[in-house]
Amino acid sequence: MRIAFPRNIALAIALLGVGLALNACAATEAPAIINEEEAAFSAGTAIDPPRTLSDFTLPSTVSPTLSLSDLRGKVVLLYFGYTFCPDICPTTLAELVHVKRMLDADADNAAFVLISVDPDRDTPGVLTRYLAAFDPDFIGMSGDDQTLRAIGSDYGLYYERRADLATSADYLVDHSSATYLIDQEGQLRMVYSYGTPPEVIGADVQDLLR
Amino acid sequence: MMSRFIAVLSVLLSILALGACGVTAEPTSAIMISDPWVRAAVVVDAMPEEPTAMSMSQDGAMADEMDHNNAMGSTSAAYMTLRNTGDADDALIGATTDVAATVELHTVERDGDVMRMRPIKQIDLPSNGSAELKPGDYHIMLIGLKQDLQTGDSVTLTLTFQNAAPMTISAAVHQP
Ligand SMILES: [Cu+2]
Repeated sequence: MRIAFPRNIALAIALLGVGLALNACAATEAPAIINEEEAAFSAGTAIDPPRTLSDFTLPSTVSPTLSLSDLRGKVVLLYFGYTFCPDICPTTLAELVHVKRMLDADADNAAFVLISVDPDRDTPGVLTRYLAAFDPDFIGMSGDDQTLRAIGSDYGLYYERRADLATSADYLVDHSSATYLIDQEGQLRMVYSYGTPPEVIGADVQDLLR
Repeated sequence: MMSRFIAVLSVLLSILALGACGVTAEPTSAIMISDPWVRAAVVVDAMPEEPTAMSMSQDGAMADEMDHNNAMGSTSAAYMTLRNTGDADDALIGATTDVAATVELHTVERDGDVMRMRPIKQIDLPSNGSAELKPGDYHIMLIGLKQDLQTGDSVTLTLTFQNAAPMTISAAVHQP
């Protein structure tokens, strides 16, 4: 059986075929990149004048309880997160490992602290095992709701347990992902967004240690 | 007669144009994967039969006993770039691995400084497009690790797609 297309339609089909094929070509040579969105390179936000932080005490990996004031005399890099987080938290901690390496011998005068916003999962024992994979000197603290609520405004801290998501995990925790620089007197000096290069953070710590 | 000639010409020209850019006519899998890797991670929720000498010797031993009631699993994530070189849209719809109890597709939504990790049904791979799975973005989340994943290890993952045949790949383990 013959199918006789009118001439103009056949011509259109022919051109379309070529067009599609050529189009495929061009796209193959210059593949479209999705998710261009990159973490903005940031120098961090200076807290000026430095903000005096409320003291707090929590169960920790270095002693049954640890207070922020116990770290006076050291420069502190503080991060709120949780061990079940596979992405943002370990990425930040890996960057803090770079910061610590940058400091070299000065690292003795700095403390790296993860405060868990998920104390049900993150007991001091869990935090010890988790942090050892990054740096055994990193300190973990199990934040309880009462304490986190009391100190949250100092940091603009947000966290929320989400048990309503379509995941096999019992729950996930939405949370602030900033890193906080606290000076030797316990005052908040800088806030770094997720993705701030470790070199930027390291240089600020070195400035405080000078 | 003329229309048949043009129709044949169309096919010929299409083949020529396709040939010119190296697209093979054989429809194998149209998905290409590059730089797959899995984040190093340790099993933090020790099983009851293997007591953790390290934590028992510490003052935190009391609190640590709770661990055993809370064996909710340790996690890691796999990252890679997926490229769809075919001319039909596709999507990554799932993955499996022997090293984790569950595997899910996730994304991270950034809302100011707040990060919200969200499970998603699929990661779209438009024709002649690509998707980048990277920290702070799309990832294949491994939930309930069965073993530590150390730098230097490799993890076998089987990826399933809406259209393309499943692909099994090996991903190196390292820190970001
Ligand atoms: Cu995830």
